[in-house]
Amino acid sequence: MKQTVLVEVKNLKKYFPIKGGILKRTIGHIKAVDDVSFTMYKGETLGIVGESGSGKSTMGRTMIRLYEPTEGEVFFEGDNLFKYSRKEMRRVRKGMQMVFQDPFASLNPRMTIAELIEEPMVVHKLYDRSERNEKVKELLNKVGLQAEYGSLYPHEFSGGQRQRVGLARALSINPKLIIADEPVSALDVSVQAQVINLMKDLQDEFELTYLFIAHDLSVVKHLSDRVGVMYLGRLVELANKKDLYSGPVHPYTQALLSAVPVPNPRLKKERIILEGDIPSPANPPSGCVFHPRCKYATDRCRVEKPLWREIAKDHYVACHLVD
Amino acid sequence: METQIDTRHSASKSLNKSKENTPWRIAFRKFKRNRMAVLGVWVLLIIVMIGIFAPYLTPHDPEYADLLNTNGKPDKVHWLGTDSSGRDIFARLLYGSRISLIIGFSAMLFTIVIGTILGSVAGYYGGKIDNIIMRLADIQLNFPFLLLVMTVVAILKEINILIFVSVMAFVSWPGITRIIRATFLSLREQEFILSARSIGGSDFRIIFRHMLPNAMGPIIVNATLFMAGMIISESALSFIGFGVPQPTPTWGNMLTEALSLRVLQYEPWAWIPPGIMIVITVLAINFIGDGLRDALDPRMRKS
Repeated sequence: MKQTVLVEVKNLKKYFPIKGGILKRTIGHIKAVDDVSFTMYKGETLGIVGESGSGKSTMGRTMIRLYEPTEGEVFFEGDNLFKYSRKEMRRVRKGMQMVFQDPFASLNPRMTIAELIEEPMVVHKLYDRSERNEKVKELLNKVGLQAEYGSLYPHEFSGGQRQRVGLARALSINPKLIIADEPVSALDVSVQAQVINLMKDLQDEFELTYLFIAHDLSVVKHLSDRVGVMYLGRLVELANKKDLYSGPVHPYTQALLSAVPVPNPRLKKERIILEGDIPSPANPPSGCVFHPRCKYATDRCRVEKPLWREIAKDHYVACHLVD
Repeated sequence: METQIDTRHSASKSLNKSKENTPWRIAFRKFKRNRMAVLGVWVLLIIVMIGIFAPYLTPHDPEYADLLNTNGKPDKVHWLGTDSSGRDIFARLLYGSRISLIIGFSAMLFTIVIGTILGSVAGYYGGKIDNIIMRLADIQLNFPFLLLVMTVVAILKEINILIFVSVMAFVSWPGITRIIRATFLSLREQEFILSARSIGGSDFRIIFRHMLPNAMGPIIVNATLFMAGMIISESALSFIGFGVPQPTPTWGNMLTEALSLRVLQYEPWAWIPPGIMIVITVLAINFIGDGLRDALDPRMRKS
C-alpha cells in the first residue's frame, strides 16, 4: 500500500500571537503546532490522536492553509503548498477537502442540501447545471441519503445525516486527500460506526487518502493504517497501527492506550493515570514537553528536546528513553 | 448498503412538506404567532394607507394657510381645528404620516446600506481595515446625534427631505455598523465559513452567499427598530425647527404649535393628535421589531 507519497509535511509550525498591553503588541505565542513532520501515502488513512488542545485540528487546518503557517513546508503531490498566493491556493484546494467536527455548525443553515453539495463544483466551475444536478443526486445516494433530500435544509437532518452531507460536499470535486477533523466525535456511538463504515466504503471507491483526526483511540484504530499521537503541538509517536497499539514506546502513548476501555469485565488492566493537566501551549515546558507528567522523566528530559527519530521501520518517536 | 439505517427518520417526515420549511417560512410562521407583532403590522399598514390616501380622506390642502381663520376650534369643516397659520390640522395630520414614514424609512434604508457595507468589510477582513472603520465610527459616536444634525442643518441653510435624510444617515451609521460588524465577527468563526473557505470559495462568495444571508436576521431587526428611532429623531428635530421646514406638514413640526403656552393650555386638539400618531407609529414598529427578533433568532427555533 505504501508506494507513492501524497503529502509530505516538513517542520510545520503554527504559532498564534498573544496580543496584550495598550499597544496590542505581541507578548507571546501559543505554539499550537510546533515542528511536526510526517508523510502520507496515497490511499492510506493516517489517524492523528491527542487530547483537546494538543493542536491536531490546527495542524489539519494549517496543512491546507486555512490558517497561514508560521514555518515549515507541506508538499502535496510534490508541490509546495506554501508557495502559492492566497488566490492560487483557492484553486489548489480542489485536491484536498475537509470534513468538519460539528455537523450542526459546518453546514450553512440558509442553503439547501443540494446547494451545499453543489457549491464546491460551482466554485471550481465544474460541469454545467444539469450535470451538477445529476452529480448531486448521485453523491446523495453514495452517502446513503435519498436524492429527494436535496431540497431540504440542514436543520431538518440528524447529526449523522448532516455528516453524510458534509462527506458528499467534500467528495463532489473528487479530492485526493480528505482531512477529517473529528468527523464522528459529535455523533452517537451507534451513528459513529455507520459514518466510519461509510467513510471506509468511500475510501475504496474514490481512492481517497484520509487524515483522520480524533481523540478516541478506538475509533482511530478501526479506520487507520498508521496512527500518530500528538501532545502539546508535537507529534510524540507515529507508527503502523499494529505496532503502535501492541508496542507503544512513548510513555504518553502508553498512558493513552491504557485508558481505552476493553469490553471484557474479567480483564484486569493496569491504568496509567496521568498526573496534572496538559500544560499551556503559550508556555510549554522546557526540554521534552511531556516531562512534567511523565513518570520516567530524567534530568535530561527537563533540559533537552528529544529528536523525532525512526527507531524501527516506520516507527517514529520523540523520547529520550528509547536510547 | 448497511449505512442507510439512520437516514429515515427526521428528514423523511419533512420531505413532503419541504416547500414550507425554508428558514424564512419558519420565521414567518413564528412571527404570525406573536399577536402584538401582527397587531403592529396592521397598525402600520393603516398608517401607510392613511398617508397614501390622504387626499381622499380630507378635502383640505394641508399647506393652505387661511389667515382669517387661525387657531380655530374643531368644527364640522375643520375636524381638528386650524393651527396658528390657519391650516387644517386634520389634513396636516393625515399628510404628515407621509413625511414621517418616508423619512423614517429612507433614513433607515440609507443607514443600513452604509452600515452593512462598512460593517461587513470591517468584520470580515479585520485587521487594519477594521481598525480604520471602527475608529472612524468611534469618533463619530463622540458627537451627540441631535447636536450634530442641528449643526449640519444650520450650515446647509436650505433643507429638503433628501438632504435631511442624508444628514441623518451620515450621522447615525456607526451604531448599525457596529452591530453588523459584531455579527460578522461571530459568523466568521463558524465552521461553515471555514468549510466555504476550504472548498476554495472567494471572499465575495463567502460574504454574499454565506455570511450576509445569515446576518439578515440581526440586520432586519435592527433596521426596524432603527426606523422607529429615526421617526422620533425627525419629530424632535422638526419640533425644534431644524427638521423639515414649514409649510410641509410633519408630525414633528405640528408639535411646534405647542411651543406657545396658550395653545398648550387651551388648544389640546392642536398638539395631542400628532403626539398620539408618533407614539402609535413608533410603538407599532417596535412591536414588529420585537416580533422579528424572536422569529429570526435561530436559538429559539422550534419550527
